[in-house]
Order: sequence, then C-alpha cells, then structure tokens
Amino acid sequence: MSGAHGSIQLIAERCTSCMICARECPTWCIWISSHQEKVVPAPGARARTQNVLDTFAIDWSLCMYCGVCIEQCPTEALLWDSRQVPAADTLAELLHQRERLES
Amino acid sequence: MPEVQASGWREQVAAAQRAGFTFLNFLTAIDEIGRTTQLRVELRLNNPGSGEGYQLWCYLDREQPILADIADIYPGASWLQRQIRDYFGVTFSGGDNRPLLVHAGGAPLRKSRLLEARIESTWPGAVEPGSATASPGRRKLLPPGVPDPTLLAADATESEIAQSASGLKVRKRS
Repeated sequence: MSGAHGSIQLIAERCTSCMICARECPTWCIWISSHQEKVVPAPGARARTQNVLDTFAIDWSLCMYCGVCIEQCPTEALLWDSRQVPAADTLAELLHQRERLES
Repeated sequence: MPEVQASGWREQVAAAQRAGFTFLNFLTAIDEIGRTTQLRVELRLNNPGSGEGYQLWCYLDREQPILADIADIYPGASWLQRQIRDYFGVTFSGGDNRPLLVHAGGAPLRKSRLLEARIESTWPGAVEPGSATASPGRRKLLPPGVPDPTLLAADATESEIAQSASGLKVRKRS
C-alpha cells in the first residue's frame, strides 16, 4: 500500500464475502454476490460450508474515496492503490468488475 | 463550556470575544431529536494566543428556531449562519438570511427528513453472505438512514422515525 489514494484494489483470495464493506459503504457503490460450497479442510475431516465470492464490483461513479471499506475489511482484502481510476465516456464504464479491481 | 439561553446569545458571544476568544473556529447546528425535540446551535471559538478553545451552545425551538445574528461580532459567522439556515431552517434575526446553496428549502439536515431516494433504491448490503440476491423472506436488513417501513405506515412521531433511521429498534406503540 502506498500513500496515494488513487483507487481500491481487491485481493479476492482474502475476501470471505462477509458483506461488511457493502453495508458500511456510505455511497452504496460496492456490489457483491457469492455462493456457498462444502469443503473438506483435511482428509477425513468434517465438511464445512464456506462462502465463495462470485462477483465483486465497485461503481467509481459513486465512490467518494472515503476508505471506510478498506478500514472495515476484517481480512485486508481491500487496499489503497496509487493508480487513478481512468476517465470513461459513460457512467456504466465506471462500474469495474472483479477482474479489473484485482489487476 | 456553557449552555446559553437563546435570549442571551449575543451578550455571551460578545463576552467570550472580550475574554480573548477572538478566533471563530466553527458555527454549526445539530438536530437533537431523540434526546430533546430541539435544535442545538453550537459556536466554537479559540484564543489565538494560547490556542485554548471555548464552546457556546443554545437550544432552539424546533417549530420556530430563531436566534440573534452575531455577524457583527464575528464577520465570518455570516456565511456559517446562512449555511445553518439552509440546512436546519434556523432564522437569524437581524442577519443575512438569504439562501446560500440550498434554494429548495426544507431543512435537509434535520434528522426528521426522510431520505426517500434511499428508501426507493436497492441497497447492495441487503444481500446476505453466501448468496447472490437479497432474500425477501428473512429478517430484512435496513441501511442507515432508512426507517422501519412498519413505523412509517403507522402514525409514528418524527422522533421515532429519526431514531429508527439511526439504526435503533423502535417499537410501535400499541
């Protein structure tokens, strides 16, 4: 993490789909969907239910770069990124999906 | 840090300035609904020599909030008073009460003001972890600023609606 607050980066492996960021966001710009899977953590162990992240989108046309999501994330899956969000011709293009947020 | 009666506002502010608190730090209003039905106007001053702070506040009637103008004591207060008039509907008698930014009226920063856009639009936080859409059957989570719909349907008071919107569970009176 650098000092510049250009954009927000997602580290999807750390995300537990807990929805805290989406609920804390004052501008309602984070959209998440996930599903549940049964996983067996070790051979012979009891199967556990785990949330698996499907989609994660930030609408940069709404985001006010307050950083509440980054602060609230319990697993540090969201980080400040020094790269700015590029301008776009339409508002729809400012909705960045998971792939763009991860890169 | 005294609470002042609205009638003594000018006098107390002038006395604070004479006592050395010559720097106007901030002048704002707070809607105290839920605690009292009143609005609170708070003035923060500093002594530029020592850096010491001083606060003065007074409570105003919600229906007819009127306070004396202090722009001749602190010229910078004029802008802040116009802002308070815009957002909370407080009138400053003898002062400049022209709209500053909000020309539509209606005191938008009072907590009794319903955020209609938030009630009508979809909240992304309503989705539970592990699902893709908000399930309608389960206990519905409400975003901050949105009061319980059952409370809105009933004849709830402004204070109950404001408390519900701040996240408190407010029971309907039977």
